[in-house]
Amino acid sequence: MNPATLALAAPACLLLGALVSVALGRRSGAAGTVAVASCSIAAVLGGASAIEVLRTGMPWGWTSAWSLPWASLSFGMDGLSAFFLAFILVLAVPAAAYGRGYLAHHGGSAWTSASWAFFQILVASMAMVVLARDGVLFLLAWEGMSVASFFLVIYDHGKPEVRSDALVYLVATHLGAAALAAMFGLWGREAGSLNFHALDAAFPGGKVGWVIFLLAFAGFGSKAGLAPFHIWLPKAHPAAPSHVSALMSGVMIKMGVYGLMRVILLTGNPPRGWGYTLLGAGALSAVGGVLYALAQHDIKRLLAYHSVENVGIITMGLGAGLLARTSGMETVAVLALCGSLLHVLNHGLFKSLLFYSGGAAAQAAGTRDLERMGGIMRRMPVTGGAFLVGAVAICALPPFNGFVSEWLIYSGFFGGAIQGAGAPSAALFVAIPVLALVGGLALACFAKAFGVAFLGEPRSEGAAACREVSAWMTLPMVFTGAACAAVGLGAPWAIRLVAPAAQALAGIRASFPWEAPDGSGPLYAVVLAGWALLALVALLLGARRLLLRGKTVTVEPTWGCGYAAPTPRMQYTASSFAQPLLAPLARLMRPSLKKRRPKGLFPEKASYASHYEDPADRAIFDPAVRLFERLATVVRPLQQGRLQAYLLYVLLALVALLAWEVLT
Amino acid sequence: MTLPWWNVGAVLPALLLSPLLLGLMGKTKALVAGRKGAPLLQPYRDIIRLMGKGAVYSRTTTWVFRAAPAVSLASILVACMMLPAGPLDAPFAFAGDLVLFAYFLALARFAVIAGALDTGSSFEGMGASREAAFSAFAEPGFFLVLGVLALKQKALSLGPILGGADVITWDGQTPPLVLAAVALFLILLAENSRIPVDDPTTHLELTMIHEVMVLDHSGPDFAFILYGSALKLWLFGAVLVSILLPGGGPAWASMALFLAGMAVVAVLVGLVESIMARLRMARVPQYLSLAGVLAALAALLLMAGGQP
Amino acid sequence: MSAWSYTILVTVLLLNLLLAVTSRLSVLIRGFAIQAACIAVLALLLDGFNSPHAWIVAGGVFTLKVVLIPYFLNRAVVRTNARRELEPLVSYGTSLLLASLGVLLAFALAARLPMEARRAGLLLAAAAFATMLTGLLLLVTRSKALTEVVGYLVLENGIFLFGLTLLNRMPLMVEMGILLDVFVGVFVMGIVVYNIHRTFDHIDVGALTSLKEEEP
Repeated sequence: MNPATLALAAPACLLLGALVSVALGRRSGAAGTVAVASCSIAAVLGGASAIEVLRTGMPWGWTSAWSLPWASLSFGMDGLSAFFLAFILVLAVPAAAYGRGYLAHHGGSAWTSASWAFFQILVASMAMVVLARDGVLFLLAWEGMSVASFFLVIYDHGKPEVRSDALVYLVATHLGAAALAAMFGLWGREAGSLNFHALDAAFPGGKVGWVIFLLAFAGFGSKAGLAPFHIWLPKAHPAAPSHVSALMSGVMIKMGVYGLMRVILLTGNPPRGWGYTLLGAGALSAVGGVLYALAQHDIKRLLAYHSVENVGIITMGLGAGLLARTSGMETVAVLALCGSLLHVLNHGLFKSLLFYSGGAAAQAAGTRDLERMGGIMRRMPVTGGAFLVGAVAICALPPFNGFVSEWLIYSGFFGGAIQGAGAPSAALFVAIPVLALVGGLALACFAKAFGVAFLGEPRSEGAAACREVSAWMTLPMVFTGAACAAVGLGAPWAIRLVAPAAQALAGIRASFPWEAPDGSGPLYAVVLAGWALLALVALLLGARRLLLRGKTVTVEPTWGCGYAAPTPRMQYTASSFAQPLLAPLARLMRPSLKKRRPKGLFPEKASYASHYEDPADRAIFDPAVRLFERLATVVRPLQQGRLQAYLLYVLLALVALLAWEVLT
Repeated sequence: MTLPWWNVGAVLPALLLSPLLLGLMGKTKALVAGRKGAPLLQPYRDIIRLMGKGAVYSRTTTWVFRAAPAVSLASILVACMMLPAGPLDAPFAFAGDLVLFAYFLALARFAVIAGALDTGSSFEGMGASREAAFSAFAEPGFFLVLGVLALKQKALSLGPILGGADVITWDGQTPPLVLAAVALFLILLAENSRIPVDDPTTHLELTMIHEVMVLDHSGPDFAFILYGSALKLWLFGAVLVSILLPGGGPAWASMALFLAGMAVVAVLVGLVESIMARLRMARVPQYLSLAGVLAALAALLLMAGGQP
Repeated sequence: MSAWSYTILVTVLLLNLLLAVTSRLSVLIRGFAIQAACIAVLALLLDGFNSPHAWIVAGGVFTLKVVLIPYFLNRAVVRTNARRELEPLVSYGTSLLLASLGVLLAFALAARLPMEARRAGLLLAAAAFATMLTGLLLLVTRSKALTEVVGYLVLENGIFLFGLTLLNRMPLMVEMGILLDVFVGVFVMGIVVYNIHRTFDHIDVGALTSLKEEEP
């Protein structure tokens, strides 16, 4: 079959699955199984089509007329779309399987079946977003994605905080969509059509070009969760069920990245200023995201802030690629862009893994609060091991996948800094310590999250009563964890998924510098170091076993430094763990602290609570809400509740239109 | 680009001599304090004795605690393979290995921190928290130093950037290199848990950083940890010495010079430990940002074109 | 520019950072004096040792800023018994950050100067700007009168350094005039500081606000 048919069959299969799921009504378990099946079939179809395009390097396009005004039914696939299509469809499968287990104990309900339908619609519309080659079609798919994900977030609609958080998401995503509509409108006016072919040829430079870029940056940035457009992200992810959080955080926010990359491809020759903007915004997101992640003790909120951080890293790579490209350093650009694209894949993998395992632990312990978890590793070994793999991978530590993509991005920064000259090189050099700081902070944050939630003694009864989750939930963890290891230890092969897109974005047709199959490029060396590490660890563990043979090995309580009656509550808490990092930044992050100091010779009660409010909430969201409220009060008198009044409005509108017609 | 794996011999000085650094350091401190001090070879004896002992594990711990020392030592060993030793080229050298070097050291740190948290001890949690915080603050400075060296040599591999850096030849790029070396020394003290950041000989758990994290390790596990920290000190010292020493000349001479340089670093650290007091914890971020600022100034000077 | 003058300029930059972070008044004064000495040597290095103009300027700087002014300032420290600046308006960590940003800004500014103003290279102008900015930083963020005086002097160091980029054009009289001006200024300030101390028992300029009239 040709790749076009295969690719379009994937969303069709998913939509069909959605219909079946709804039809199943109260049998929501079966609806979930249908979703797993349809996602798997779609992954095979779409994956085959994407691999065909990546292998042959032959893009395809397919256009047909459409009855909608200014629109055409136009699809296509190039290297970028192929990578993203495979990425979306393959990662949807473990998410569906995990959700099948996660929702199992909610019992059968029609609402759960409907939620499964929305899940499949979400995956299908994401696939359509990357296949669309027409502005209207793109916006329709985008809207489908937003609405379907909104209904997924609001799954637990009985809780008021879930409703309010989901509402924030709905508003934020539509503000972004409005910016995108304006962008396509502005661009389409120049091009005379909204078809991507027409847009490609007609990108206006100068000021209009910048306005288009800024609209795209706001629209796609708000979907991607780039600071300061990330407001919805730390609210929506904790509210949603974990498989939805995993799909949204791992996959859906990358649609924003896809959009930015698509716009850059369509412009042909982007100006250098975009590179600076993206690099700067990425750095802000990365540092801000990881700092606020450190301050969280809700495990899913913490993971959500790490999405802000990782999207920041991806955007830094993209910005570095653009800077290098516009400074004539194509090889460096390919490095940074490969890193950026590979980090899209990697973040999808390890963030899914972390949401699966973190979500399972939270479900089993009955709380998302890190301070009430603890000791889960002993009780849920697979889940704990999965979280550990995810944590090592997201901290970009070898030998897992996160390291490979960050290494590529670092290589872009270093390469640009030493090869070029002037401001672009200086900017790339400055990015090096920023990324290093983010790495160090991320390590601290995941040492905290993993250590406090999974290690030590249980800090609550719920945590003490944890049991390992079902195979529906553990198998997706094993799958994504293995994929993290596979990309990390097989990077020279994984990079072929992204190399065509990176070359297109870098504006070169030459082959990727490390495609030499004789195992000699630096990427092979990176991978070799990972294998060497594994070998050495095995060797040392073996040596330890030999050394301990015949010796006495005893098991005792933890050494309490002389204290005789330690309790689990005396363990170091997540807030204390983050304190040495956050205290020097108190001026910057402005925590609200509630202290009750111990007083007197025999102090009775003392307490300490810290809360870090997101500055974007304080500076953007709250004032915006207040403004809307004030506007709403102004227009409120229009709402009379009497039929005559509304008819009068209709009449007034009609008269105004007629007057306009007459006067012009 | 091929991996010169046959240079495995370059790892030998680190493997064999790194505990000697600790001995030298302790001896310096003892002599300054007017004591006789432990013999130079004491760290070797400690490690060997620990290897022969049994082990005690906490009831709270999981496999994470047992794997941590091995993972930590293994990743430091991989980092060792990327570093040239004086005239000997590293067995594992390629463009971009400097990032890998730094991240393997980070992996070692993550393993030890996870092991510490696995015990559930509040003291070990405290040490882990401080270690994570201070090394996060040290990381930008370390990368800036690497960046300065890369800028100076226009290369991305530790071999060329360390072999070519040469403070002794008094050219226009000497001041930036000296600044980078000073910054690196400050980071060396912090990363290796030395005064003024951490006091390895203190007896109060509340004031420790690194030592308190490894309280529960015993037997071969503790030997791995001890050996790992000796190697880590060697790694940082070797980078520092390679910045300062000239390249070229006969191989035996530069090897001797390199080893002598390492001894000087150990004595220097011992002297700093003898004459300085530990900083208050709240001041450590400032200390580390000073290192970052020095390295940044060095980079700025290099980018401004060095001496006209 | 020789390796020596390059090294001296780097030292000047480092001294700026030191001045921005130290809390001890004696270190502050000594740092300023060393910086002034560096500048005096630099004036000689840049113009060659056989230019009488350079010898006069360097000698003047040395006598006033390395010997006399620090001597008076140290006396004021001893008399007023104010050894540390304990309450700066911004923390020393922030000061370090601001001073480093100042260095960055200085390099950016220097890179934009016209070529003829960069007689001795980018670094000289950058060091001059950085020194001025550090002086301003001290003036703005410190609350002890003595620290303010040092801030003023550091600012003047920067101006002088910038003058060095144009040394063979700036008339000798102007240079000497500036120097004398500064000396008299510091002299007067020293007297004022001493008198504030005698009257109020401390030299915190923040307390001067209490001199204004009471609101009715």
